[in-house]
Amino acid sequence: MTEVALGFATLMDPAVLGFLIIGIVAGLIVGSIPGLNDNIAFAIFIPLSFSLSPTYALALMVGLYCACAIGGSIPAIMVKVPGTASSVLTAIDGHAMARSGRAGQALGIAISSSVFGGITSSLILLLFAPPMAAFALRFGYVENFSLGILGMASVIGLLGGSVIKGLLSAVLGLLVATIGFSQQTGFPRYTFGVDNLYEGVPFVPLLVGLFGITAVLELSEELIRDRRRGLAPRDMPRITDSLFIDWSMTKRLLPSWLQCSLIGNVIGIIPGAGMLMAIYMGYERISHRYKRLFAGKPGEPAWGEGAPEGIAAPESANNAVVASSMVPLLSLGIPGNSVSALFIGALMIQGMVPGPLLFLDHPDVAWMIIVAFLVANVLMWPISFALVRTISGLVFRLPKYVLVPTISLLCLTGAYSDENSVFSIGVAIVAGIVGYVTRRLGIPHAPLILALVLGRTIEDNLDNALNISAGSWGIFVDPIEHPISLVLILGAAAFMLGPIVTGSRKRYQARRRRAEMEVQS
Amino acid sequence: MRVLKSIDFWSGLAFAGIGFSAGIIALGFDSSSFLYPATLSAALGLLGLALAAKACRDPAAKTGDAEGTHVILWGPALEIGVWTLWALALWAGLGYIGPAFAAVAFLILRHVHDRHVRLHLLQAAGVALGVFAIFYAIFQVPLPELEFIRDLLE
Repeated sequence: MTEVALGFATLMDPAVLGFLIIGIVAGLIVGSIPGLNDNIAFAIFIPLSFSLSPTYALALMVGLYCACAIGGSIPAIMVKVPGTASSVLTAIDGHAMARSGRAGQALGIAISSSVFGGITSSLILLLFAPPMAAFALRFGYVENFSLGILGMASVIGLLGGSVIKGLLSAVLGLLVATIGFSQQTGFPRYTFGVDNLYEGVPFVPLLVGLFGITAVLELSEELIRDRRRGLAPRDMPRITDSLFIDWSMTKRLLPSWLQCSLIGNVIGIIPGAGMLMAIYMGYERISHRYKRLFAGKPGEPAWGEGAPEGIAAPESANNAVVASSMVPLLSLGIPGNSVSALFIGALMIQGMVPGPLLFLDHPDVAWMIIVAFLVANVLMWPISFALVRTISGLVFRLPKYVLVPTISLLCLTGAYSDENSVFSIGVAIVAGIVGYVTRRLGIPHAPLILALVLGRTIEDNLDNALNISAGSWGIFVDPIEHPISLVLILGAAAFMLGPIVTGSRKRYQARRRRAEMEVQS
Repeated sequence: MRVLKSIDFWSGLAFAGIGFSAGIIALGFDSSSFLYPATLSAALGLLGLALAAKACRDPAAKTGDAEGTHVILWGPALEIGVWTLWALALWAGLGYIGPAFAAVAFLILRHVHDRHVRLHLLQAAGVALGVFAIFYAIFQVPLPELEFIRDLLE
C-alpha cells in the first residue's frame, strides 16, 4: 500500500498531473486524425521528453497512450474512417448508429466502453506487474537471455502471416543492435569508421525514423493515391443527441464490457498479441451474444447496422490492452507491443532500466506509471465528453497536405535534438526508408523493434551465460540448475512452432481438397 | 518467368546479400566479438534465401505494378529527397528556418492546385516558425540558426 501511496504522491504533483492531462488531450486529437496513431505521437514526443523531468515525460506518455484509442473511435463513428487501427470494427456499428441520428449515443458508448476497459486494465497492471517484477528479480543471465528469446518468439508466433518474414525482421533488428563497440571486448563492429556509430545506432532517431518517418511516407503515398482517384472529402453527420448513456443502456452493456475487457487484458499481457487480435476476438464473441439476445426484437438493428454492443465490444477490448501491455514491460523489461517498446525508449532516454530493476532503483517512477494509468482512465471520461464535439469538428478542418510536412519537420527536428547533430537526422531518414520499404515488402515491424530494444541485452546475457557454462549451450535447457530458463525456451519453441504447424495443416487440407476435386471431376 | 516479377523473390535475395556481406565483414572482427554478429548474418542470409525459394514455389507471389511505382516516386521518394536536401542545408550552415520554410512550402504547394498560394506560403511559414519555437524557445534545443535570428531571439 505504501508503494501505491508513493505513486499517488508523485502523480499528484500539479505539474505531473498537468502533463498527464496534456497527454490525454493530445492523445484524443492525434488518435482522431485518420492516419496518425499513438506510434507517431510517441515518435514526436520522445525527443521532446529529453528536456522534461522523468515523471513529467512519462505522465505525458501515459496520457497519450490511454487516449489515442478513444480518439481513433471519433472519425470511425463520424465518417467511418478509423482514426487508429484499433477502431476499425467500431466504424461498422458506430457509423451506422451515427447515420441514424444517434451520433452522440455512439460516441458516448465508445467513450464509456473505452474507460471501462482501461480501468480494468489499469487494475490488472497494478495487481500483476509488481509481483511479477519481484519474481523476475531472481533471474540471472541465463533466464534473462531465455526471456528475451521468449519475447521475440511470442511476437513472431502471434503475428500471423509468414514466419520467415517475422524471423527476418527479428534477425535484422538483432544485427543492427550489434553496431558499435562490442560490450565484451570494446571492438568496433560495423561502424565503418563513423564516430557517431561507436556507441551504437542512436536509439531516439532510430525510433523516430521507424515510427514517425515511416508513417509520414505512408501518409504521403496515401495523399498521392487519393489525388489520383479524385476522392472527395466525406460529409459528416452532426451530433444532435446526448452523449451520456442512461442506466438501462449501462446495465445492458455491462456483460459485454466485462467479457471484452477480460479478453483485452489477457491478450495485452502476451507480448506481440496486440490490440487487433483483442478487438476481433471481443467483437466475434459479443456478436453471438447480441444475435441470441437482441437481434430481431423491435427497435433493435441487425448486427453491424448500429448495434450498441458492436461499439462496446471493440472499444472496451482495445483499451483493456493498453495498460495490461505494460505488465511485461514493467515486470520483465519485455515490451507488450510497439507502443510499449517506445515506452522503453522513453525510459532509457531518462537513464532508467525498464524491467524489475525499475521498482528497486526508481520506485517513485515505477509506481507513478502504474497509478497514472488508473488516473488517466478515470480522467479520460470527463475530458473526452467535454472535448469530443470540438475535436470531431476540428479534425476534419485539418488539411492533410499541411499535416504531413508538419509531422516530418517535428520528427526530424526531434531526431536532431537527440545529439544536436545532423547525423541523427540522417539516421531518422534512413530508418524511415527502411521502415517504409520493409512495410511494403510485408515484413512485420514488431519483431524488428523488439530486437532493436532487446538486442544488446540479449547479447550481453548470452555472453555472460556462456562464460559461466564454459561455452556450453546446454545451460539454457538445464532442468536442474535453470528450470525457469528451460520453461521459457520451451514456451518460445511452442510460439514458433504454432504457426508452422497451423500452416502445414492448412496446406495439407488444401492439397487434400484439390485431390478430392480432381477425383470427382 | 513470373518469379522475376515477385517482390518476395527480389527482397529475399537482397536480404541474403545483406546477410552474407555482413557475415564477411564480421569475419574481420576480433576472435571474441565476431561469433554473435557472424551467426546473425548467416541467419539473415539463409532466411533471405528461404524467402526467395518460397517465392519461387508460390504461384501467387506479390508483384509490383506501374501505378505503385508512380505513387512511390511522387510521394515517399520526393518527400525523402526534400528532407535530405533540408538536412544538407542544415549541415552546410544555412540555418534552420529558411530551409525548413522552403521544404514545407514545396511539399504543400505540390499537393494544391488553387489560387491561394499566399495562404499556403503563410501555412508553411507558420509550420517552420512554430516547430522552431517549440524546440528552440520552449525545449531549449540549440537549433542551427543564423546568427542574426539568434540575436533577435535572445
